[in-house]
Amino acid sequence: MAPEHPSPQPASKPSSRSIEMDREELKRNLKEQIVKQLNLEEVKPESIADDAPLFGEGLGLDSIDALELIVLLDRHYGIKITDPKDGRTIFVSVNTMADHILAQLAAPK
Amino acid sequence: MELWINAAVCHPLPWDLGNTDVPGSELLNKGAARRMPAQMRKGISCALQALANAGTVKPDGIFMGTGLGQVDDTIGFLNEIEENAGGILSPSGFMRSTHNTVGGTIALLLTADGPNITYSHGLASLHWALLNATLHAEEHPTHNLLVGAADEHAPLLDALANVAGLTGRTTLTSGAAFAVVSAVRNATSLGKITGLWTALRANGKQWWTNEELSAPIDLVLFGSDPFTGALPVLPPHARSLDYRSFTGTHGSAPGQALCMALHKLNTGWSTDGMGTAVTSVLVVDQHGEETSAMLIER
Amino acid sequence: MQGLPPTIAITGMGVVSALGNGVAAQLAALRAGYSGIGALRYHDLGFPDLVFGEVPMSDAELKTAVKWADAGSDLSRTVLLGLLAAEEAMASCGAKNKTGLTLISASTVGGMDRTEREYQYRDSDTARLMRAARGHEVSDHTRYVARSVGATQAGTISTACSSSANAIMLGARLLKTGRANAVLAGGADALCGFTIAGFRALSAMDAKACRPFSADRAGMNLGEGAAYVVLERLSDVLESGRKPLAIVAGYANANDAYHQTATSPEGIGPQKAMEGALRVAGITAANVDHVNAHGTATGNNDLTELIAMERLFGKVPPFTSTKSLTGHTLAAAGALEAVFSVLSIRHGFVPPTARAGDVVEGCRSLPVKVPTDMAVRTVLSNSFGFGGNGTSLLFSAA
Repeated sequence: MAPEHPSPQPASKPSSRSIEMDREELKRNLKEQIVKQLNLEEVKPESIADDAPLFGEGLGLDSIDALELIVLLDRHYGIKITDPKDGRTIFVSVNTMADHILAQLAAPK
Repeated sequence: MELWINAAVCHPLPWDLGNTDVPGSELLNKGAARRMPAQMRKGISCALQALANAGTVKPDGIFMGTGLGQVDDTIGFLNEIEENAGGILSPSGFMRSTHNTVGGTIALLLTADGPNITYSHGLASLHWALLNATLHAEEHPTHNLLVGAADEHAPLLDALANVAGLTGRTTLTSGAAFAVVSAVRNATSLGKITGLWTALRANGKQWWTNEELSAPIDLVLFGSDPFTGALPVLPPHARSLDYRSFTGTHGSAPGQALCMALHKLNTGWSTDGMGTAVTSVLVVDQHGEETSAMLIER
Repeated sequence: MQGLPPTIAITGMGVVSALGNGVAAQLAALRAGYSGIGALRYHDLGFPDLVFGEVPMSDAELKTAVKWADAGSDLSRTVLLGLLAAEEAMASCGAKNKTGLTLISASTVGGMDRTEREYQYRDSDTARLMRAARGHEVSDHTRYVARSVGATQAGTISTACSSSANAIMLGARLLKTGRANAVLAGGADALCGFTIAGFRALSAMDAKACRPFSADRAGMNLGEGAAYVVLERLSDVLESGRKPLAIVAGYANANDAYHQTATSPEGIGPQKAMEGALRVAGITAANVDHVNAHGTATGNNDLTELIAMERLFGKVPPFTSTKSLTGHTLAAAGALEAVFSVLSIRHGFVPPTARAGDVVEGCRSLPVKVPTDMAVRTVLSNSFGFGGNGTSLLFSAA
């Protein structure tokens, strides 16, 4: 079940309520994408807490997973991370990933 | 030489092909298994079961063989390149496509920090792994060593075999076999390897010396060349059986033949052509100009 | 003297790399500190943004250079490289009777350079892919080399970066235990799109020429090549009136078991491998004159290898990464750097680590930066592969 690409950025600034709904849907999608991209077969997406650490404790991901998350951002959101070290702040949790995605999508081209 | 086999596990079981249970699958931690495709998991499960059977917590060395390595991941990464040309690629499949991935993964699971070598030489891959284990065992007689071989199947291989005209003569399959070996016999010992041969340009000729095979062999399990059907030269007066009719063909099939030999030596298993009283079994394969063989005794 | 294992000698060497074709070409380049790293010139693979240690010969030129008449056409570049280096090694060993030869070779790429080109035809023209895939296995090149040199026994090792170092180690042990009388040991790997794409996906490569053992190192450069050494028992060599080139004094393989692609931060596996090689050789760390390091210039390798060396040696002897000149030749690296180690011993010099900058973070040792003349009697050569599986070899003057 491949998640859809999010819709292109709206022409006008979205209302705060629609950002919240988008954000919730984005986080739900992200969790499913993470489980799929990283082959976390035994993990139910909904069991990943929004602010749970992805690396170290929590899901216990490693440096290869960090590269796979870069692939995930590129494939599903068209966002490129050129320096893997940037991943250290972006991939802290589902929340930080969602923040980054929304910031990138809202940024003027 | 004398290399004692203190446990041996394979999948599929040549004497029980209907049994789809993978030995040791419950020993493989699911979290650790997440980066392993299904075929790779079967091999590693067999390895863990063999270690459990031998009562070995951590092997002192790991010696592996594989004919084609991780075919699923090799094809997977070729597809990844094709489908994402010019874009960012997922690295996991590439990482797993190096031939020593199974040996390395087993070492990681068990934090086994001893020697770890993978051979990839077609149907002789396991033989070289066994020879390396023998060298190690001679230097360290108290060590317990993990030796194994695993090969995967993919539909693409069947398509290639088809255009090569092999369909009908050669059935490509997959399989894995792992053994725990040492220089010393112990309570779990199933048998010993007393001879290993890998000979080049021996086709049509006797590849053993008369000293090496001085006693009559009770049973020969042979495998023909997958491409030409050429048979290896067999020692005279030996009852012989084409083991590939049980295992199919893949680079690690000799490992399953080794398990067949041990099963025959240790149980009452009998099938057409096998005979009853068996104390020695020779497994021998012909591939191209090479003949590889191993002698297993009680 | 009863009970001592035989001493193992190197009697012949053959090599082709980014530094050129043949041992003499390597020696000249190493002494001049010449780096063979640059953009692809003989491969039609793309990657204009990357640099490589490419052998400066086209497939056609390699084929012409191979003397063996039965080589056939349309061979994988890995096979051509292997044949070339093997021929030089056998020609240089001076042995009159070359029967009873065991070949231990190594490769990670095998025939993938051909398979990947035809993979697109798997559905539309399967026979076309099949013709290429006949040579896909890493052992295919071994069979060609075995035929060309007349080997009666052959095997292939595939442990990524430590492969041909493991081949030399196995060869030495086969000779010591009387299971072989002469061994040709080494390996071959050609550049191919699969490998380049893979290392790029791992973010392991520097887009510019690499800077091993430097604070600002940014990854490796892939290379290609082939190298073989002829190994014999020293007693046999002397009995035939020949002189050895050098001695294989020690060897060890150890596994880190830390992570699939990274070595443990303390460099436990590398230290075990180096200590093991010293133990087999029966010498202490203080006796090592020079280390030919693995030195891929990745963040993880250089840090962990240097940490391990500083812990093992205290004061690290002059060390260098020749991968700064040749790139990382994967399965061929161990044998290639074995040849470089022997050249250091025989010609009394240490090759440089090109482009080396400031000292690695948290460490205190800098590599040799310019070609340096010095007496070299023992060389430790490291080949540490994926996931901390590493091999160290110890060579000494004959």
